[in-house]
Amino acid sequence: MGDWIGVYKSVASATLRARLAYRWNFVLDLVFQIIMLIAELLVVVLIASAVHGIAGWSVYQIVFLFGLSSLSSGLYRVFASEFHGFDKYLVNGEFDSVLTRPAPALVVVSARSVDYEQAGMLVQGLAIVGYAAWRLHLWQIDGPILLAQILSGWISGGAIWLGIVIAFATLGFWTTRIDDLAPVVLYGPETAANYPLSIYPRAIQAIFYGILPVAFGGYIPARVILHKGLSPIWLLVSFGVGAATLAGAVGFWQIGVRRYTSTGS
Amino acid sequence: MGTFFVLGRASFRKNMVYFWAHMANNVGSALFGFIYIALWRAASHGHDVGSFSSQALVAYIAVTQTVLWATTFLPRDLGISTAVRTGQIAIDFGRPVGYLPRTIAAAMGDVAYNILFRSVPLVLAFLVARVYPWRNFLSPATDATFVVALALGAMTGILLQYLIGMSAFWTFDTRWARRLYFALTMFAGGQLLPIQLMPLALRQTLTWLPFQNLVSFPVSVALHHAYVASWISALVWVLMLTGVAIALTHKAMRRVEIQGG
Repeated sequence: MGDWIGVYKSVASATLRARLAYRWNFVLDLVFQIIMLIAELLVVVLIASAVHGIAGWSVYQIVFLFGLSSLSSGLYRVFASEFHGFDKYLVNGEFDSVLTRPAPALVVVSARSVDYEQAGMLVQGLAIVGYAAWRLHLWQIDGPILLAQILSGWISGGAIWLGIVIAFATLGFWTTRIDDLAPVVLYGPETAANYPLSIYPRAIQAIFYGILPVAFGGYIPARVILHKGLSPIWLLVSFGVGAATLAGAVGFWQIGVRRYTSTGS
Repeated sequence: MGTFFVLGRASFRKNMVYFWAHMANNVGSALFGFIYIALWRAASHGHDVGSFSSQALVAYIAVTQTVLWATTFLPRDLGISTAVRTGQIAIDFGRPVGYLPRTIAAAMGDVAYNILFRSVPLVLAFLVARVYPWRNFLSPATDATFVVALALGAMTGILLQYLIGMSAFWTFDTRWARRLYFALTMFAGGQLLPIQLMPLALRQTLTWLPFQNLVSFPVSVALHHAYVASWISALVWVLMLTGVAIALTHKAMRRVEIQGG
């Protein structure tokens, strides 16, 4: 176990050095992401303020949910970027070299996955959540409890997203190509989770509570924190769902790795 | 003409290889449509928003999702930057058929494929979900104008991608141009929010930019929401972009000679 952490650290720091070699790309990427997310948020704010809220959620409540959800999915973008583009390992046979490393494949791929360029998502997620909480006067009530609640929602959401993206990559062991599945498994749910889930048709909601449980990574914790009809026990439930999703995905990954046959020439 | 048809057909067939992957991707595309439809439905709550009824907004999103495949989701920079990087471009330039018309012909094959296997399945999905404004398409006048608007939109999309690709001759990396293009299509094209609902000054500005051709213009034509100015703007931009593309191709050809093999 200690060795794995060592492997993770050294591979992750090598990844960082490689990425920082293109300093300007790094900075531009960061700026671009911030602009895109703010623009998307702005559209929602415009819509919501024009009609005084959506589905019983006020403008700032929606902003809060948006921030918390992007914090959760931001974790997979920062810490699991290689799972996200896992095709290349399978198509080019790169996964062979991963298997020869002195640590489990999951650790090696994770360590290569640290994508600092995506860190902007987390910074602005925090800013959005903080701002919304301030506008909703949440800080005045009980700061430390609020902080703990937000953190718990974030961790649950992060675990759920890491689980989803690992499971998504694992599908590649059967299908080889996975990039065309990304809109269904990753991007669509990621966008959907930014808004109150109650607005979606029941069939879509069922998917987000069950198969891809993103509801527990934003919507449910936000409802607890914003006192929208759920007791704090739901934070624990969300945490459990997060742990189960991640554990399930890791198990699925191990089955997939055993099935792997190289495409090498 | 026969040559161009063969080129278009070839790129159509190339897409057929990934048919099932594209079908999986279509599910995602439909999902995005349903997400935004749900959002607008919940937001408008049965009330009018500006000049749009709640129903018209839903129809706007549905048609947008199908139009995007004809105008915007083309191979990135039509593969030009890769050809520049690998040097393949020198061989391409040397072929007996002009580079620009040949590239456009191939891209049209992609557009034809996308309409048939991306847009049409989405239309079917939205029809089943009863969010597609099929009644609008019962009028032959609407159909005719929509086809023309869609053709102008597709042409604009192809030309803009071509220009992004051509920029590789000077910058080597088209990533930023592509990202900017993506963002502009989203906001200036009216993909997230109809241009008609934006503040007056913004609306007037965006109507005269080429990005409206990609989404807002064809969709608005289908929904009878298009301004006369949008038509003029669309036509003028296609002509101007064609002119710029021709000029830039000539410049790029000279540049290849300078760089040598």
